[in-house]
Formats: sequence, C-alpha cells, structure tokens
Amino acid sequence: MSFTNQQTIIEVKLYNLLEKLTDRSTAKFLCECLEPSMTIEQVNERQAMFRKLEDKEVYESYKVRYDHLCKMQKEYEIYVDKDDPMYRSLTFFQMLNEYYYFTEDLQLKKDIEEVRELYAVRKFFKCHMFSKYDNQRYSVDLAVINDKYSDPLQELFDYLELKEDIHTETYRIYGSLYDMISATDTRPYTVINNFYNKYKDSVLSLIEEVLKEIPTLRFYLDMKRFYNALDERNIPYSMPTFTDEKKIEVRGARDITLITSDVKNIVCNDFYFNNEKRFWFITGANGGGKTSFLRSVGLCMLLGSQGCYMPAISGCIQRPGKLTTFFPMEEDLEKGRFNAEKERLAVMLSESDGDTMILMNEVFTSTDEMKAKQESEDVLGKILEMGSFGVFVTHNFPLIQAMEDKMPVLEAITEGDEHNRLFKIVEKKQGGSSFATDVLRKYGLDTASLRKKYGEAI
Amino acid sequence: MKSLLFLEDTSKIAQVFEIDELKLKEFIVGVSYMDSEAREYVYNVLSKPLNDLTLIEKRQKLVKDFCENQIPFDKMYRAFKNFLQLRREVTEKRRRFGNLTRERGVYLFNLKIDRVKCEIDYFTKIYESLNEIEKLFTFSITSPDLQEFIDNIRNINGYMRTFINNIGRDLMDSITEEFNPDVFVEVNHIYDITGAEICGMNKQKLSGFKAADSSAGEMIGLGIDRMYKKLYNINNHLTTVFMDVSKELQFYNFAIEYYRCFTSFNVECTFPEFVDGPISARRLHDPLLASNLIRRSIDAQIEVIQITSNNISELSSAIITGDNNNGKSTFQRSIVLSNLLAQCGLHVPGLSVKFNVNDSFVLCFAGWDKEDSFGRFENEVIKTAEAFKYAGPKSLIVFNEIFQSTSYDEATEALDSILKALICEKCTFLCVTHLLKLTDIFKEYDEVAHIGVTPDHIATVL
Repeated sequence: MSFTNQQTIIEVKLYNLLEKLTDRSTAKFLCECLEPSMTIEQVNERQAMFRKLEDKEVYESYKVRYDHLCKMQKEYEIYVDKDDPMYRSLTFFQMLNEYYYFTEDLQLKKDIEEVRELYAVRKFFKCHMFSKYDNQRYSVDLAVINDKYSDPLQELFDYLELKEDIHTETYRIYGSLYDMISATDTRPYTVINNFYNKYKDSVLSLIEEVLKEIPTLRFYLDMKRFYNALDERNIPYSMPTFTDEKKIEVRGARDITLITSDVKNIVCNDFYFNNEKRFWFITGANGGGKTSFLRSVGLCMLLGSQGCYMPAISGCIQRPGKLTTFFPMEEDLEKGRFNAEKERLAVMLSESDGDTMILMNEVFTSTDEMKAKQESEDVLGKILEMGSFGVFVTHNFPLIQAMEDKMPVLEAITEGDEHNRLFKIVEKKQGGSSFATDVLRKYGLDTASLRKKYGEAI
Repeated sequence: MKSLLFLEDTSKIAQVFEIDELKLKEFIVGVSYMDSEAREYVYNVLSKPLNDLTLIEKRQKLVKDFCENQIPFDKMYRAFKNFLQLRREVTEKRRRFGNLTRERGVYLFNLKIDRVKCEIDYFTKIYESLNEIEKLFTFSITSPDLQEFIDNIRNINGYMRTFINNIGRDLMDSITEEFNPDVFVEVNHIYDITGAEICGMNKQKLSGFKAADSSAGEMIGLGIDRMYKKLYNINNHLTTVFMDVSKELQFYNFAIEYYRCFTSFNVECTFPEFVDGPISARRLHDPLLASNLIRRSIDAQIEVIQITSNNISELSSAIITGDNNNGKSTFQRSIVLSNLLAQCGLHVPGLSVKFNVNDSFVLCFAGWDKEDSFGRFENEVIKTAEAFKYAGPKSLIVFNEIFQSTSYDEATEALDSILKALICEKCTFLCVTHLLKLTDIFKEYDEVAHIGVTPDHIATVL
C-alpha cells in the first residue's frame, strides 16, 4: 500500500475542512488537484496566479470567464451528442454564442451578432421548443406558445383544436404542424443553417482548445472560495518562500481543520526544522493539542508545497518534497494492529528519502511499553539516518529518555494547578507527564473521584 | 399474528453499548448468503439480545425446530417472500387504477368493477400462498409458539376459503329493489358476502337499473365502493402481517445457515445452559474468526480448516494479556460474541457451555480521532464513563486496549481504579491490555483471573 498525498489529505482532515467550507464535489475536485507532486516551476506558476487573483477586479473577470467556459462546455456536450440536423445547428450557434467572449476573429463575431438579433426575435426556434416525440410528432413548450409574438402560430393551434387537450405543459402535435410553422417563415432556419455550414469545420478544434482551461481555472476559483471562507473567520494565511537550504521555518501555523468542530479561537504555533533538529518528539498533556499541531504542520507543508497559501502567518520551506503521514490504524483481524503497523512502516521507509517530511502519531501503542520502545527506536534510527524531517507524537517516556541526545522534544504545555491546556507546543528538555488525570477527573473517573464514591476499595 | 422473535417488551431486551466493535455485520456475511436487506434485519435482531430466560428458551425451541427437525424451511421461507412480490404487483396495478380514474373519458363504473376484481384476485393469490405454506406443516413441532403460529395460519386460511366460496360471477339473478350490497368483511370474521357477486356487474346491467330505479343504481355503486375499501384494507392487513412474518423468518433462516455452516466444518454448536456465577465452556470458538475462515475455505474450495478453540473453567472477570497477535482479542470475542448469540436464542460454537444472562453488554475498545474536538484519550474516557451507567451485577463490560494514547504509568493507574470500581459494582469484566503491571495489582483478587494467551493461541489461567 503506497503512501500518497490523498492519504495525507484524509489523515490531516483537509478533505473534511474543504467539504465544510465549500461543498462535497468541490472538496473532491480540490483533493484530486492537490494529489500530484509538483516541480518548483509549477509551484511558482501557481503562486503567481494566486497573487494575481488577490486583485478583486482580476478575480471577478476570471469568474466571468469561467461562467462562459462552463456554458460553452454544456453546449459543446449537447452538440456532440445530438444527431438531428436542426438541433445540431441550433446548438452549434449556442456554443459559438459563448465562444464570442474568447475569440478575436472579427468576422466570426460579426456573424454571431447578426444571428443573435434574429434569434432573439424568433424565440420559438429555440432548440428545446421542438423536441421529437416520435417519428411524426413534436412537442412544443406551452409557455413558449403562449408568448404573444406569434399570431400565425396561435391561429394554427386554434385551427387544429389542440387547446382542449392540454393537460400538461407540453402539446403533442403532428409533423404537419411543424411543417406549417416552417412554411410561415423559413428565414431563421436558413440563416442558422448557413452559419453552421460556414463555421462547423473550422471553429470546433479552437473551442476544444479553450475548454481545456476549465479544470485549471476551476481549481484557482475553488481554492479562492476556500480562502475567502478563511477570511470570513479572520484566519491568516500566507504564501511560503522557498529555499534550497535544508530548513523549514513557519510562524503562526494553525490547525484550521478545527473549524469543522466549530472551534472559534484556534491557537497558533511556530515550528522549525534544520540540520541540527530534524526530527522531533512531541509529548505532553492529553488533549493538549499534539495531534492538532501535527495537522497544522501537515497542512502547511501540503498546501505550501503545492503552490497554495498555507494557514500560517509566514513561512520559509525547503523546495517541495514528499509529505507522509502515519496515523493509528484500525485493528486488522488477521495480522493484528501491531504487525499491520510494522508492515506499513516498512513500506513508508522504503518510499521515503532525505527530502520527505514524516509525521507520525502514536505508533506502536498496541503493545507493551518495552517492545514499543524497541520498535520505535529502530524506526526512528532509520529515519534519522535518511535525514528526513518530521515529528513523532508519543507518550512513551522511556523512549524519549533513550533518544534524548538525538531528538529534541516538543511539549504540549499546561498552566496552573489544574493543568489548563494552553494548546501551545514549545521546546522542552524532556516531557514527564500526560496529565491524564485531568481528563479522567472531568468525567468522574480519576482515582480521587472513584475513591469518594466507592471508598477504600479503590 | 404474534411475533416469533418476542421483542415486543423492550424491558426484556439487554442493553448494548458500542456493539459494532464485535463486527456483527462481518460475522453475518461470513456465515450466510443473504441479501443486504435481510442482513440488515438480522443485524438489528442480533443487536437486541434478550435478558429474559423464558424468552431465550422460547427462541431456542424455535431455532431447534427449524435447525434440527427437518422443516422444509426453504419452501416456507420462499412462500412468505412471495408476499413481497405479490405486493409489488398489486401496488403497480393500484397505481395504474389511480391514474386511470383521473383521466377524462374513462367510464368510471367499469373501472370500479375492475378495481374490485383486482383486489379479489390479489386476495385469492394470498390464499393460494397460505395454502402452500399450510401444506408444509406435516412435521412434529416441539415449540408451542411455532404451533400457535401454524394454527393462526390455518384459521386465517379457513376464513379466506369461506369468502372465496361465496363469490360468484353471475349475480343479477336475485337482484331486487331491496338489494343492499352492504358488505362486512373483517379479518377474523367474514360474514355473508351479499355484494360478492357484484363482480359480475357490467355497464349494461347497471343502465337497466338506472332506468328502472335510480336509487338502486346508486346503492350498487355505493356497495361496490364499500366492498373495494374493505377488500383493500384486508389485503393490506394480510400483506403486512405476512411480510412481517417473512422478515422474522429471515432471522431463523440465518440461524439455520449459521448452524449448518459451522457444523459442516466440524465446529460443534450447542445451546448453552444459563447460570448465575462463573462461566465455563469447552472448545469455545470465536464465531467471527470461525466465520471468516469458513468463508475463505468455501471460496478457495479448501476442505479442511483449523480453527483454534479454548476451554474456560469457572471464569468471572479477567485481565487478558499476551504478545501481539497471540489471539487475546479473539479469546475475548469468543466469550462475548458467543454470549450475545446465546442470548439471541442461537447456538454457540462450543461444548458444555455455561453463560450468564446479562442485562447489558458494554464494549469499550481503543478509540480513534473523530470529527469532534476531543482527542483519542478523551473519547475513550467518555466511553468508559458511559459504561458506568450500565454497570451492575448483570453487566458484562469489555475493555480492549484502551488508554494507549497516554503514558503507560498513567494508563495503569487509571485502569486500576476503574476496574476496582467495577468490582464494587459486581460487574463482570474482560480486559485485554498491554499494561502488564495490572496483573500484579490484581493478583490478590480471587474474582479476577489473569489469562495469558500464548503464541499458539491457547488461553491459560496464570
């Protein structure tokens, strides 16, 4: 099982966040766009585009462009699907009506304008009006028929005494009526057909070329929508700078996925990695923000190395490399969690190198303390040898003690006698407690509360 | 029709907390070939184990009759499932009638006659289905509930037979001005169907009436409507009753498939004895693991499979330890899942099994980071606090590797206090853990066994 960006996106809960701030299909689309790794050139290009979109006028113009592209795409799909010649020529015109905004061919624009004028006056030739019911009959929208412009048409309907049979919005009329209508005025049909014949071979490939812009433009506009949602919540974000040096320094990073739990004030933290301090332990109070911190690092690295804004005040990161996350797995009925984790870690190590950022959350907890220490030391030794950056969340204090010379420690700190969680992660010499008692006390399950209830038996 | 599952009284259903940890759905898929709707139904029934010994024994008798007495269950089950198909057909016809009555130009009287005929046709088909089912009951039955069920079917069948015998097609012979096509039709008491022969009515005959006496014509129309409504209601009622039965039979279908599946692979299944006090069993298997292995063997067409079992002797609460992948969770599940199945009236995969009747099953397994803002540890603490709401002398509390996401020492201290509190509540608990210090702490507690599971998956009391 390979480690992919998609997995990271799910584990750091970016998908959930995107879904909350936009919608499901946008979240899915954006996650697919964020999947592939990017070169520095591609990242720079993306950053340039995002900066351009900071200008409101530019942003609005791109939105308009996107709307026209989408309408053109819709007509294009109908056009390639239809084989009825009348329908095709009408749809072709609809498509070119949108292409009008993209072309610089003056003659084409002039021809489109001419047909437009005719089309506006003779609305009953709109493609949805006459749809084929069977070999002989066509249906006509009642709403269109009721328009006042076509008196001859109304006379025809009266003549055929069709009004009494109206039960729903559509008529069912015979081919003879259709022929009668076209006999009253053939001009619009002729003009549209001529237009179609003139341009059908030359313009289609140009349109297809323009339509290729859609996914790219959609990505930027959807991400902008996401960032606008962060603006509404006063959450800062910034574009990282890149360096060839092996270091990462980010200030004011936030775990913005806490928005999905309706957390209002998200505490920010700084983080840095360099040659001396590549891989960190994080330990400290339960519920103190360790996993949140891990996610904030993951989000910054994922979005930053994809040329997007990251949820931090500022940051400088090494050239884009791989990001790998390792969160606890579900029990594997056959192998057991421990063995499944071991296997997965082996795959992770084989796919990683010195440019990989590895984020690990409470690995090897499904075994006894000594075995967990041994296995973790083994894995961390290999990671340090590779030179990867990363973080390892753990409560295994013997492990931290054993590796204190090789790995610095971050701690989720608390304050006061009641160990209030500050959600700040700071560098410490060595962690000592998870302050589990505070959480247990909240639910009456700490030793003191149970002793109060059950007496000296506890 | 009385339920064959005895779930009407909710006070006789044990409470279950976090039952998905037992992977019941996976177990159901492993032993049966049911469709997803049936599996969902069976899962819902298994999620409601009984805590009343009398009801458990009633179910056991039904399961025994179905599994061991050679009842042609397949045919009976198919016949009841037939009601689903009948219902679909009549629903479609009724819908078409509904549409037709809204069309102008359709002569309504003929339509009404056709509608009544449709309902009688449906009624007749229900009768034919019940006839088929009745013929299957030629075996000896030990369960009084099953006997009562069969008697009910025979009664309903009898009433329906009377009704159908009274319906004729040519009815105009005896029509007079006093003609009163009033129809009283009830499920349990079908009276004189004076309007039954309305089926033979047609437009021409009605016109003859109209000319002679307009009120007679109106009354016939009224009678037709009334008869239609009565038949419609009866048919709906019968269909609902038998569809409910066909759903309940899905559970017994599952019971048969499970029993046959396991016994065909030499996993002996018996009904347990229910006791107060310590439990015991010989050659007890984990039903989930067994079902997975059996399914794989069937798919791979391997004949012989080896499934580990364990013997349990005089066990109350236990702390279960052992190396990774030795089978601690499997051993734990062999007790808990088997006990749950037992309280659903099903066989258990073991011999000489003695279980308790629990009022509640509480499962606290290692947690995950959820969508909420609590961490893993706090989510587990919340579950454990919830468990205490159910804690009592007849509850079975199951812990599986909780409190991994805190330091070992703090986790040991927490579980130490919690387990002692549960002892005060006189609960039974089974705790799988890697916190080895707990076994030293509870060495002096007679009621708590330390069970070690070895690499060859054998559990022994240490």
